[in-house]
Formats: sequence, C-alpha cells, structure tokens
Amino acid sequence: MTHVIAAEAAAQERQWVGRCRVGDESALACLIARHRNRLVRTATNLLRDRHEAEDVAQEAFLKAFREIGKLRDDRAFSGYLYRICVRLCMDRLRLKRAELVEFDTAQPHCGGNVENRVVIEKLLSQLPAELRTTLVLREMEQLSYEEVAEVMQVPIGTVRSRLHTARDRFRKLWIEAVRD
Amino acid sequence: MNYRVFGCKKFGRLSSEQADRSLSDSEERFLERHRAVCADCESLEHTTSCALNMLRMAALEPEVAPMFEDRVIRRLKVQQVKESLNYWSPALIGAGIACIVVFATLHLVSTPAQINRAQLPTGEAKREPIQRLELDHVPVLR
Repeated sequence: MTHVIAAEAAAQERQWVGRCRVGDESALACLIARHRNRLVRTATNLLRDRHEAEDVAQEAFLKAFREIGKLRDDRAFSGYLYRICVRLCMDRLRLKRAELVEFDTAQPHCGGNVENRVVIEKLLSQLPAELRTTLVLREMEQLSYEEVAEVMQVPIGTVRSRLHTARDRFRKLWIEAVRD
Repeated sequence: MNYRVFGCKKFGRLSSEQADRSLSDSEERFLERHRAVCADCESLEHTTSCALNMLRMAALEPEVAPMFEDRVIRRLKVQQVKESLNYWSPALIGAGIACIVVFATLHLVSTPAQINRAQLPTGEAKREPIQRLELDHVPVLR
C-alpha cells in the first residue's frame, strides 16, 4: 500500500515537473507545497536561524526552477532540490564561520530546553561546514549514509570518516562545555 | 596492554558505527569485552551518546511562513523579468539609438532650407539728413 502511494506521488511529481517546464504556475505551487517543509527544516537545523533558513529554501526553489529545463530525469527533482538547499546552507556556514557567531535569545524555539539549544548551537558553530553538515544530516535529519553521500556528492567512505571525526570533535567540545 | 592500545581505536570506530549499522556478532563481542576492560573507552562512549542525544533533542521544527509559495513565485517572476531585461538590454539600447538617428536624419531631409520671414526683425532703416555745405558763404581765404 505504501509503495503504491509512493509511486503515485512520484508520478504526480513527474507530471508537475513537466508542467513547470512550460511555465505552469499551479504546478510550481504544488511542487513548492510538497517540498517546502523538508527544505525549511533541514536549512533551519543546519543554519540554526529560522529567517535565514526560509530565505535559503526560497533561493533553492528559485535556483531549481531556473535550471529545471536542464534536468535530464524528472524523477531526480526532489534530490536535486535538496542538494541545492544543502549546498546553499554550506556556503552560508562557511561565510558565517569567519564571523563572530551571535545567538538571538529572543528567537522563539519550539519544545526542548533553550539552554541546551544555545549550547548545541555554540558547539556546532565551532565545527567546519563539512563536518557540521554531515553530523546534522545524519543525526538530526536521520539520513542514511547513502543519502548523505548523494546530497553532499562525496563517496560513502568520506561520509563515514567525516561522521566519525565530527562525532569525536563534538564529544570533545561537549565535554569542555559541560566542564565550564 | 597491547590489547588496550590497539583495541581502543577499533572500539572508537565500532562504537561510532553501531549507531548507523548493525554490527556483526564478533564486533558486538569485541565491544562488550573492551568495555569490560577499558573504563576510559566506556566513559567516552557514554559521553558521546549523551552529547549526540542532546544534539538530536536540539533539532528545530520548521516554521514555514504563510504565503511561502506566493513569495517564491513572485521572486521567480521578478527574476525572470530581470534576466530577460539583462538579456535584451544591449539590443534595446542599440535599437533606441538607431531610432533616434533615423528620426533625426528624416527630419533633416524633409525640412527645406528656407528663411522664415515672419521671424525677421521689424522696423525701417532711417537716414540722417546730411548738412549741406553752402559754398556761397564760404569765407574767402586771403
């Protein structure tokens, strides 16, 4: 039953992508509605900033729609879109890492402990963009090794070693933070 | 001693991988044995697990703003207009300059060269009376 629903959804998406190519606005809206939550969630967890995450998600959609004509396989649209979003987030993280990281405590968060979030955000900000992205995609977004490799366009072995390094560094940073 | 030196690295790797894949029986046994003899590794594993749990708990739920689709579509339209303007602007500028040149040429060709009489200054030319020299009354010079 689940397979049938997934197949139907995939067929529908292919149809929408085809209609987008000829400039159908309703198909654009349908594609955006289908993917926006996933994109915004991933961008929020990577960037830890809701406003910036929404901006990145919009930018990812714009870039994907602009290049939709070059897409060889319509089934690849969702992966393509997700890859663009993650890459945009990584670009922003690289830019941000050079700057002083500021945390807006007035920003509303849903659930969980705010102090914990502040600590986690500080720790994540100390990791390089590649390690941070790998860690967040695996631990928060629950992607498999294969999916992370596909999104980041690196071999699975690289994902494995990056994840190992990221966990190790994160643990060390965590110990330091707890000690302080 | 040797067991500990070589085993700790393997333990770290397997401990990290056990969250991502199911370990084989021999790997599981190795982890159990190593935990029993190496308190440092056991403690590290526990700390890593705590840190990663905190990380997972810190995941944020998405808050998609209303009218997200409309905003994206509006931005897309603006972008398309900008791109088409950028693409066509050199041609448009060239066409504009050509139009101005053509109109100016046509205007010059169609206008005959003539003086507009109506625009000439009005008035008369006046001649001042010349004083005549009276020769009869000219004093004789002696």
